[in-house]
Amino acid sequence: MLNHQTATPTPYSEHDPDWLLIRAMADGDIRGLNELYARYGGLLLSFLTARVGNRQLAEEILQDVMLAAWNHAEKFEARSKVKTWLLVIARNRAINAQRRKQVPVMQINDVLHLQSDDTGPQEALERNERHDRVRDAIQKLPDGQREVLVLVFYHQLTGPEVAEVLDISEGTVKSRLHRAKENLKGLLTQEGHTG
Amino acid sequence: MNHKEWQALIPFYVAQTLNDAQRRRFEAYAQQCGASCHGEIEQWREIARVVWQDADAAARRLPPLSQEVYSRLQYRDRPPATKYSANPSRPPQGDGEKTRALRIRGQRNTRLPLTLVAGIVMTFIFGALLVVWSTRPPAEDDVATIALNTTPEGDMGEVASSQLGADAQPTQTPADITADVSATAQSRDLGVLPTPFPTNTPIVPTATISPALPTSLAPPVQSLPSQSNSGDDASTALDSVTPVPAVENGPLITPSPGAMLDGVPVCDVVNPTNAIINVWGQANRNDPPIAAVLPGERYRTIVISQEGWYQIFLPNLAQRLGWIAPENAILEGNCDASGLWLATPTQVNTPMRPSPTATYVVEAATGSPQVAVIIDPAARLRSGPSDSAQFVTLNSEPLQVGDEFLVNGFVTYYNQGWVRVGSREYPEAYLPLSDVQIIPAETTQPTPTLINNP
Repeated sequence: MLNHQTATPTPYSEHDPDWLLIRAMADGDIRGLNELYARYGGLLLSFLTARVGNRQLAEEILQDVMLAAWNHAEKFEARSKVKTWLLVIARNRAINAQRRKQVPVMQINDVLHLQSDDTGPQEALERNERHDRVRDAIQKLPDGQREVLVLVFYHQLTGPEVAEVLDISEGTVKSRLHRAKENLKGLLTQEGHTG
Repeated sequence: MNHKEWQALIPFYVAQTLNDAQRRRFEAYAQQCGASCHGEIEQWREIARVVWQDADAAARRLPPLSQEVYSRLQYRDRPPATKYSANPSRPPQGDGEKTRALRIRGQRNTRLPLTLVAGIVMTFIFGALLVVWSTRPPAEDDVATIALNTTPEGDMGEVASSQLGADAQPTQTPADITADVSATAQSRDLGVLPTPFPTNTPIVPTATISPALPTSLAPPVQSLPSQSNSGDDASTALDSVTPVPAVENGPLITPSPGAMLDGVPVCDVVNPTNAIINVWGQANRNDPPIAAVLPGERYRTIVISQEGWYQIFLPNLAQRLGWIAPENAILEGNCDASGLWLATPTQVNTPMRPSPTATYVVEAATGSPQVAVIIDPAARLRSGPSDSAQFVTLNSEPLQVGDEFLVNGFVTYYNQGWVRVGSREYPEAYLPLSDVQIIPAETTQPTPTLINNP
């Protein structure tokens, strides 16, 4: 990674690419939206999929999130990272969508089927029996614990950032992680006994 | 640090999001703790791996933004000027929305003096008369109406705005939108030219941007003072501007022989224009672009294809590698010494030959032996060509910049390039192409320490 990318002191600099994109959107430049979507669409989709447990609904919410980002771009005051800001919007939109649609708690994780035609060593890795058990157990976790896992491990947010996105305390973040681990241990142990 | 505090940090250690001080304390404790602590770390690593795989799979199939979204953006194809204008000069289009706007305002301001309310009503009536007199094209009025009718008013309001702070306030009210529309119209009428980016130089529209935008919905291109193009017609403006002179006989290079990073020469691709240029998933324009490079941005050049396309590393994208067309960018840095291809074009490395359908392609290394030289201090060997594959270590020692591995082949997995390398311990280990530099074996030091037998 180049120095100019790592040495950016804050995400709020006028030279920060994300900031430029938000400014572009605020100025009505649709290219900013396209680029923002290219940069963060996938990350948001992964979060939303974990959050609502339904790929199709997650995609619908994602469209709504981008529209909201466009609408609020000029109000963005750079008090948080753009990524965090987008995740906050995504979380709130997901809450609203779930209220409206009463989404089932969790469906079979449809993303697992996306790579079903893989070949090669990765397939063997992904079909590793233990991973599958862990994956099944993760799907059984409560929404709040599962989304923390995604934010920590995939989005690589720090504790304070996770707390900001989910509007909870940092202590709650840690306790959710702890409970997630304990639940997983219990689920895997239980499965071991029954399976 | 007690054990409970240490345990709370494990997920963040595994995710590599601890700061340096935290990480040092964490590792110091782990060293004292011994096997049981390492076991706990490994448990979290396994969880992280699965979470990462699932999340990454979800992120890979990103659908395009829907036309509905674009259609709902149209009312803001001009720079917002007086968003909070207290006295919009033009009322919303359509009786229904006008009534709604008035009702909302009335609900929120029930204690307003009657005269003020009457004034507002009169303003709207006056604005309605202006609509009648307006000579704006019908299509734009239609767009404004669509925007007003479809703005998701209330969605954000359902969630406490305090969660968002000022960054994400509740969705605009119809009255706000009214102000937007009127301000937009005002700026157009006054000939106000937008400044899309906060840079000193204006953005030049290019013909290659916004590919996902349906042509029929393309916003008017912002005219620039320096251009003779005078209209708002998008196609005219796009066709009339060429951002960068085409380069036919090789790349433009601004040499900086001293450009080194951790002792390794670096060569960057730079966007020298005032335009956003596209990054493509593959080295051709038939596939959809995956990202864009903003004016002045620079990215590490990984490979230069025989056709002259630059492969760059994109740290912010799940798909870490992309291609830039040679006519759109220049090279800067220690490009001659970086071994990309320039000295001997016959040894051009083309490690990635992505297939549009296959997600996993292995190419055996052919021709002269090559080595992969570590250029990223954070590089780690993995057991498979995926960020979610297990890490493997050599003699429990981290990789160092400058370590070399014999190249056994190249892999494209979900359009991410990996090099398959050989070592004594792991004849089938993998490194991301972005972490290494591929150079001919004969130009390396005589006795590379980690090379397996060829």
